Amino acid sequence: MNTTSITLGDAVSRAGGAATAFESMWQSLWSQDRVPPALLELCRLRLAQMHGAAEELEVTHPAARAPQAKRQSVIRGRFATDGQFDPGEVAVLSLAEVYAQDPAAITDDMAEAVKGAYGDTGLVVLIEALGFIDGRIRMARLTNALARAGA
Amino acid sequence: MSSQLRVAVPREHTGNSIRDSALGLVPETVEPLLALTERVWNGGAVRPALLELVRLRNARLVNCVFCRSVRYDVARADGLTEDKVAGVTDGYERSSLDEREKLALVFADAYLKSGGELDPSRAAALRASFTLEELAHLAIALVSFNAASRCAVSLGGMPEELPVMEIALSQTTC
Repeated sequence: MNTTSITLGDAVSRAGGAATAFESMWQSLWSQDRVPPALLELCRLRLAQMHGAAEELEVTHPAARAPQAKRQSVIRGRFATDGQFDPGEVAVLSLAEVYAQDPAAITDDMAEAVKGAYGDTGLVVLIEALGFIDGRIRMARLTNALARAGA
Repeated sequence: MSSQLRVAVPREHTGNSIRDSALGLVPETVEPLLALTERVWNGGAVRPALLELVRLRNARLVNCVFCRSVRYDVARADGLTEDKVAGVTDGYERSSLDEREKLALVFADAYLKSGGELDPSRAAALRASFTLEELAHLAIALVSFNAASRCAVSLGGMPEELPVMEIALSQTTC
């Protein structure tokens, strides 16, 4: 089975203490209470969809189960218009979309919308989380390519 | 890119560059981040001078002015020179960097420019030149470097330019 952002920790466990610290950092993002973990999971799905990482859409972070209807809406890119999401959720998902393409393109209005719903610390956690979510999606694909080369 | 900070930094100054940034507003994530930084640079399977080349390749492609200007003391102590840093440009394949250094940048570019896609011949070259432990360590380091630099860009306050400056690793770890 291919490695995903959820299982990347197992794939890099050979790194020893660095791998342990990497997983602790990852888990801290899913156990904080500044931004709901279920919303971070929706961000993970949106970024995975944007990367074309189909295997990521089949898995769920165990600490963050989001309603199926919301998962499908986010995967299809309809979160801004289908009425299932409150303004704070839309702000977070909209910022995540721009972050995935170019963090420098995030506008002050986007950042303010997230802060309006989740505060300054919510924006900080969101940006940190997006970095590790997006990074683990990319690195899972790279890890799979290296595994195929060694098979 | 916003030149204004989007989040105020903590009022208390600790002397730690990460803890004193906006990231310090969230203790439950900043402490694991500091521990991760320590583990990336100290005692891992990849030497600091090589990690620094990967970090600077990331800084260049993300266009993080802070990250581009920094040189970690542990990397310089491990032999990093500005001649080596000058090789971390587009066209590094033709630079004077050695083959392992060039391959480490191939690894970084696959992550940074291709979303993790890597063609089989380059994957095989990486597998032949690096141990699995080294590749795992490079993977962790690169995700950490990239998350940090994109965080700096996203949270604003980026100057147009900064001079090269050496930073002690101890200023960014636990």
